[in-house]
Amino acid sequence: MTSEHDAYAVWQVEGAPPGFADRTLQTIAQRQARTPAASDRFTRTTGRPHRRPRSTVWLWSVAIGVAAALVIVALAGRVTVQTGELVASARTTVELGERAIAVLEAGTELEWRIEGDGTARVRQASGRTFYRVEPGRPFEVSTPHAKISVLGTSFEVEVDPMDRKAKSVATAAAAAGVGALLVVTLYEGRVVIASDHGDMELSPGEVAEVRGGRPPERRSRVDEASDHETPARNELDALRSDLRAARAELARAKSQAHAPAEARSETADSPAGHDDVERCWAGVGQDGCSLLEPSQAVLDRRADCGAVAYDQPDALYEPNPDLSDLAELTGLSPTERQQLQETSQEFHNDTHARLLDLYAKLGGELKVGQELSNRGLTAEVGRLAEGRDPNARLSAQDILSATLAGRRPPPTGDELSPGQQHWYDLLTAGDRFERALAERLGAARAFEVHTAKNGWASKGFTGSPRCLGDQEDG
Amino acid sequence: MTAARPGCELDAKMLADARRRDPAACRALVLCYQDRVFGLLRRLTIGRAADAILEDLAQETFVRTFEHLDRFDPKCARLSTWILTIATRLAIDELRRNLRRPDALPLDDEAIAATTIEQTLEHRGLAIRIANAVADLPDGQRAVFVLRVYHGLEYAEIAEILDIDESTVGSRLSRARSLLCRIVEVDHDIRA
Repeated sequence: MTSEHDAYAVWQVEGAPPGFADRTLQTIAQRQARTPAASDRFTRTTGRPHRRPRSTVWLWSVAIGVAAALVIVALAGRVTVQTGELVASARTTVELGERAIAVLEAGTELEWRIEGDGTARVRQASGRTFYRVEPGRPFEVSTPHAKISVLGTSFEVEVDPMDRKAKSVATAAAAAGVGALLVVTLYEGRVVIASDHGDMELSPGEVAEVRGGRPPERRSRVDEASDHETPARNELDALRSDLRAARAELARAKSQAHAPAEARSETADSPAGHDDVERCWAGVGQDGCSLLEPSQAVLDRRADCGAVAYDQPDALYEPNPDLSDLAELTGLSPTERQQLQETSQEFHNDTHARLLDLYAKLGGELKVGQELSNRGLTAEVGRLAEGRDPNARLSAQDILSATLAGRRPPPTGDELSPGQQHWYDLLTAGDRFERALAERLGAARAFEVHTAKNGWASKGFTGSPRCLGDQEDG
Repeated sequence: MTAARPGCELDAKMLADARRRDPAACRALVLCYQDRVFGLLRRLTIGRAADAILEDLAQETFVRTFEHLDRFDPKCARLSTWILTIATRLAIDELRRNLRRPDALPLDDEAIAATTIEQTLEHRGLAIRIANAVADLPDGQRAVFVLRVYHGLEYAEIAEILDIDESTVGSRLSRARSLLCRIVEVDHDIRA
């Protein structure tokens, strides 16, 4: 019976995608705005006092990220017209009529009008928005530089209202669009881009740019340009797991990553030719590229770019991860297996305590934080850290990559801001777990377990804008 | 053979705050239960619902939760069970109306893998086989199986959620397990 139960437990699915709580609370607020009597109906059916003013206050107060929002439903005979405008101060999801959803990144300005027959006209003055549109009546997105006509599809529009400088936040799609006033990325379906200087039809997977005084140009494939790291698309489409919840925050600035331990400097003399450096500097496990023992040349290259390769143990997010395969692979004795499991639990709890501490330092409410899992806390701390210090992640990477390359000593406890500490902790989780394990198994055995699969279960790499082609530092 | 997973429950103070529409408490409520709601919805609609639909269902679950939170009586049920009840009924309605499986073809492994947490290859293979087998179950059996095995609900709770007799819960669970057992046993045989 137990083995049967264990077997079923193997099928674990992903939880809520990042930002779900914010979107849900915003949806509730939007619905309330459209049908203000809803809560009244409820209070009447339960016989409770009429509390509309309070209800309205709370609903609007939870509409985080909406700097200004107006939805007007005008009834003219049987025809309903929906109009609205929004300036997003954080990622915000908006329903555009019955068949379209838009996910606005912070700073995006949007206006829309949905006719009674479903025809939709959207004006995006600036910012970046991911759209998903079901087939139906015409759907147009106007920007200052071109108009995009849509058939059932999903796509992203990024508008730079001015002559642009390099972006400080570098998604690959943005990187592909350096110098462009408008970047349109098509994931599914078909769109037509029409500017004063010419038209172009996009096919799925293509990216188009509009530059001043020129017709739209097909730039590259989505997979070449963005590696599918568009955060908004991820939110709607995608693959999410415990690690991805953290990575989604990292991915806002196009990164993934790791942190080998200080001990890696002992590998400084590892031979590495130019090809190895070029191939392995962003490597997280390719043939011949060691995650845990990179050459000094690789570490130098990463330090030049503020880049880090990292790994994270399952224990970061799971209190009782299944480590049986790792135990078998490394031939751990029953006692050692028990010690590995105990280390996982302690590491998980220690991580929770660290996250809770950072959460409080960043202004989070302790009573809320205490209810959250490590994954939820990681997302929340990342969100708060970004709000407090948008450069925390990149500066933490700079410090860590320089430390690993031997260019500076490890940071002291009070040297890092809470936001930097958060990212530093995430990127060094793999080595913290190894050190914790070493206290029980000994350093040699712990390192053996760590290297058995070239790092713990989750591996990644995080770069920075200054090593994305010809882009300047933002 | 339940596999109830540990999860948070809002305490009485936080629940009271949520009823008063305290923003922090409302946010805590969603954060506390969102993973279980998504887990339930993903399994109930495995292979049939795009992520956008799942998000819609999950959002609707919480919209209704807040709409009717004053009706919830903590003496009668756990809040998690109450929320899972809403999610289950929404998912079953959606399955009946819009998510009928067009044919009996095996599900695309990639579609299942996309919602399955990353694991070792060995476990991943078994996970996908289980997911495929669960997807093949009739909706009613699948609901009983998922609520019992992955959310640890009691027969009486499942019966109330699905509006069926406890004996029906037992028979559906028995039929589901008899199919799933074969998948698991075959896997064990191969690994042995």
